[in-house]
Amino acid sequence: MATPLLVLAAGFCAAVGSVGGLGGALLLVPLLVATGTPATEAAPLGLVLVAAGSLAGGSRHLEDRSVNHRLGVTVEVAASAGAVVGALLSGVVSETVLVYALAAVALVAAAAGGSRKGIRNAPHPAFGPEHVGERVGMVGGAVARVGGVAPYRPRRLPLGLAAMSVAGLVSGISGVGGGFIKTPVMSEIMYVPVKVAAATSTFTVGITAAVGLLVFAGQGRIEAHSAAAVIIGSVVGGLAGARLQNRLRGPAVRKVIAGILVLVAILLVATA
Amino acid sequence: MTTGDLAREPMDHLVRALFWVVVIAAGLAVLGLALPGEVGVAVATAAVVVVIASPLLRVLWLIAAWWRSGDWRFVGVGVVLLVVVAGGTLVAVLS
Repeated sequence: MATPLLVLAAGFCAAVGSVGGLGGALLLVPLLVATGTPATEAAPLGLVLVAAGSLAGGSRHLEDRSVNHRLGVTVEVAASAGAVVGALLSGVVSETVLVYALAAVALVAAAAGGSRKGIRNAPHPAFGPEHVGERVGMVGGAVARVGGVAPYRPRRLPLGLAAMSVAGLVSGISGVGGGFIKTPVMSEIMYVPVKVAAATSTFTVGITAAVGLLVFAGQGRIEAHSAAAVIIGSVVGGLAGARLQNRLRGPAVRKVIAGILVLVAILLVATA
Repeated sequence: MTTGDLAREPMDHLVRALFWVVVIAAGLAVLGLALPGEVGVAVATAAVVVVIASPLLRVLWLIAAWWRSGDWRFVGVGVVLLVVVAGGTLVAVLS
């Protein structure tokens, strides 16, 4: 793909990925492969997109205190452990089976998030803007939303961690960031407010992507010029996506995520 | 309803640091594309190195901040994460 087009494609995928905390590699990689980039070169570029988009969106999420680092680091332990096992199993699992499994997961997550009505973490009158953020010694916190500030505490942590290890397993096998699983797991299984889930997932997919890129760098599979083009697009797209996510309400973010997940499922099946 | 003490890590430092890391990564990427030959490749590679290093350095920064605030539980979780990441990378590269 020509460099200007690669910058534009990366910018679009990073913006979309940053809104939903989905990373964006699952959009960029099929696009690159469909336009003639070898899969061995496309996968590292997908992870460059995820890492750079995560970096670009980070400061915006920090400023509005929607990212929960304690929760992110906790779930990332399970996800990283799963990713290691997945990387070791990557040659064993059939690529076709994997693609259809990823598409099925994306559709289930889209249905779960898109069909949900109502608010799980309602604003509490005792909480004001000064209470927004995470809490010492726990994975809970409070988030600003329309009508006030809502405290939250992740539920079903053991189940959430188990699901995160599966997300990591999928990441390790397929070479994607796994944000399209992590955000719905935090939002729909752990009942974390979707904006916190998306911001925290944007943080954690950066770690997953960095680890994957270290492995690809060791194998000499990162093409520097294409990676630079992807970084430029991702920085612009990641900043725009984080800004847009900040302006959207929670239900709107959920619908955007559901729509992207359906698109991801279609792309996966189309390229299988 | 209470959810405990508000965390008071100096996030404004991290916001500023992340801003400058983004500027550096993007600047190096633009230069890497603009400069010809080996120099361009070297500068573009530096941009990739910045992108790879930043999330891991962010975790290190968080561990240090939690250490200073006495949040030992999450210091431990952060260290476990870095050990898993380092061990996993080593295993993946060696295999």
